[in-house]
Amino acid sequence: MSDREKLERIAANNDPQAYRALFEKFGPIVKAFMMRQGTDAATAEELAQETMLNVWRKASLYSLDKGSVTTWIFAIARNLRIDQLRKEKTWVELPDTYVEQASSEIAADEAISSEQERQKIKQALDGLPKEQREVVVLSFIEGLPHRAIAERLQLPVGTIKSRIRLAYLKLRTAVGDPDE
Amino acid sequence: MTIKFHPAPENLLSCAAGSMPEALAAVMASHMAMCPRCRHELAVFDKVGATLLEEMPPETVGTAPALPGSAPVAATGGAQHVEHGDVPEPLRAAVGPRLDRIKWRRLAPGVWFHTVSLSEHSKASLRFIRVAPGLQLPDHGHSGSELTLVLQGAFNDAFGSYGVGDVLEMDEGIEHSPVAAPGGDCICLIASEGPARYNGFLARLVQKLTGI
Repeated sequence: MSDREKLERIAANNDPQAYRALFEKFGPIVKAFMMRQGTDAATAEELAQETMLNVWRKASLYSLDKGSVTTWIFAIARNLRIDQLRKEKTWVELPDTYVEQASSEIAADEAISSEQERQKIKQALDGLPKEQREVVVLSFIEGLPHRAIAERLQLPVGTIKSRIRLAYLKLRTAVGDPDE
Repeated sequence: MTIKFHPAPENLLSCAAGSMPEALAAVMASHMAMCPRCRHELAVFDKVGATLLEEMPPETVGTAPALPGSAPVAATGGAQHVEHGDVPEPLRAAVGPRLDRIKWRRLAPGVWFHTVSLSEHSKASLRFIRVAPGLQLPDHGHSGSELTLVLQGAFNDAFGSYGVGDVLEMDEGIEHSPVAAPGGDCICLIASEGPARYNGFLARLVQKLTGI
C-alpha cells in the first residue's frame, strides 16, 4: 500500500493501522529533522508526534496537487518547527491554504510523474557541487537564514546568496523549465 | 495584475526551507498570495525539502501515541476565503482585510506607516508605508537586507518602476529616492532585517524628514 493510499484510508475510515504505518515511516525522520534545529530528543519526539497528529487530523484535506505525501509532511514539520522551536509566526501557510484552479486537471499527470520527479530531484541534489549542496542542506535541514549560514561558514552573505541561487537554478531545471 | 519583479531565487529557496527571518518571510508569503508563478516555485522547492527529509538518518521513536477520539477534520471543498479585501491573506490576521482601514500613523505630510508586531526576539521590523501620489521620499540608504512589496499604486526610482505585486530587494549600502506614482496613494509592505539599533529604512527616513 502506498503512502497515499494509507492517507486515503485515514481520511475515509479513520484507519488506525494505516496511521501507525505512516507514523513508523515518518516519525523517526521527522524527529531527526526537529533535532537538527538544535533541540533535545524529548522535545523533538513531541514535535514529531504533533506533526503526525496533524497528518491524522488533516488527512482529508490532502490531495495530489499538494505533491507527494512526503512533501506535505515536510511542509507540516517545517511550519511546526518555525512555530514551536523558533517561536515565530509561520507566514508561509501549508499548501492546502491555496486553492489552485487548474489543480484537478493536472493532478492525474502529476501522479504518474511524481516518482520520476523525485528521482530527478534526488539526482540533481547529489549532482550539486559540495559547497552548493552544503548551503541547501543548511537552509532546509538546519533552518539557517542566509546571514547565519554566512557566520557559520565565515563567508560574506553575498557568497552564500550566490551559492543558493546557483543551486536553485540547477534544482529547478531538474523538474522542468521555470515559467519565465 | 502583471507582476514584473519576483523575489530572488535564493529567497524563494529559503522560504520553502522555512529558514527566512520572520519579517522577510511575511513579505514573501504576501507576494506568494498574489503570485501564482512564485506559488508554483515554492511547491517545487517543497519537494526538494521532502527529498532531503527522506535522507535524514532516522532517530528512534516510541510507539505511536493513542489517537484522539475526535474524528479527523472534514474537507471543506476549498471555500475558506470568503472575506474580500486588498490586504494579502497572510497579513489579515494582523491588520484586517482592508488597506484603507489600517491604523495609519502620520510620519510627515503625505507619509503614513503602520508597524506589524513580530515575535519578541525578532531583530527585524515589518511595516506598511503609505505615500501620497507624486511625493518623493528623500534619498535614503538601507541597513541589512530589505524586502519591499507594492500593495497599492506604484512608485519609481532610479532602478525601475514598481507596481502592485512587485518585490524590490535593497541590499546594504544601496541608496534610492523613490517617487510615488500619480493617481492614488502608494502602499507598500517593507521588511527590514538587521540589528535593532538600526531600524532600517524607516528610521533613516524619519531622520531625513525631521532632521533629528
